[in-house]
Amino acid sequence: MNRVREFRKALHLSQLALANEIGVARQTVNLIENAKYNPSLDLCISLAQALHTDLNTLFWPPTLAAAKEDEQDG
Amino acid sequence: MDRLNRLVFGISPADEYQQRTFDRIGGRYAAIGDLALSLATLASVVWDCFFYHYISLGSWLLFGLLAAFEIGMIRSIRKSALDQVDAASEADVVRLRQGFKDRRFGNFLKFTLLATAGWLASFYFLRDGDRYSFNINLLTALIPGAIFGFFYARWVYKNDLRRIHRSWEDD
Repeated sequence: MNRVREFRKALHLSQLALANEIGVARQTVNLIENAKYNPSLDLCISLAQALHTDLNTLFWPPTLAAAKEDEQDG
Repeated sequence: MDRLNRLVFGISPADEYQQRTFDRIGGRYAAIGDLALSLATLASVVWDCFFYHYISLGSWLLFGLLAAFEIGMIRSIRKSALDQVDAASEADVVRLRQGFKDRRFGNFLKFTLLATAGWLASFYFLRDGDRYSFNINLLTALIPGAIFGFFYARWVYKNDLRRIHRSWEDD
């Protein structure tokens, strides 16, 4: 599961507002949030930029991100 | 291609998801196929009218094929919600509904005129045939045309209402 919804809500944006900002249909944002559609890299980058974050934070599963951080620390 | 899709199916993919979904249900080729099938049906009917004065089995088959094809595509488009219209608020829903309601009478007139013209044209061209030899006047053509126009405009209106999606409910 990605964190698009979490970041969108933190910015007080509706799905429609976010969709308009990145130039897609609201339905697409809804499907991405519910992990029912795998967006292209271009769309992922647009989403990350619109939500003021990076791709890893937005799409990388938390357990994998933590394991990677541990690996780097260790 | 976008203009063709809009002309044939009334929709045009707005982004990569919609484009991918539309391609998956065969939209890209379906628009061309639908147009080709429509032209073939029309050509067959015109040919029948001019040369045989009755609608041949081939034309009926083409017409059936076209109807089945279009019903299939409409169902796929509905199922994948490609025809959805987003409303941002309850006021937006009311505005959209009013817009569709305003279009209803215009649609009724348009469909009535088209159906009546088609009905009259078919009787005019088929009048010499054995199977369609009875007379028809404007009134007897207008009544079935208006009935068709009424029900078709009603179906379009109900379908338009179904397309409205309360987007804030997904937030």
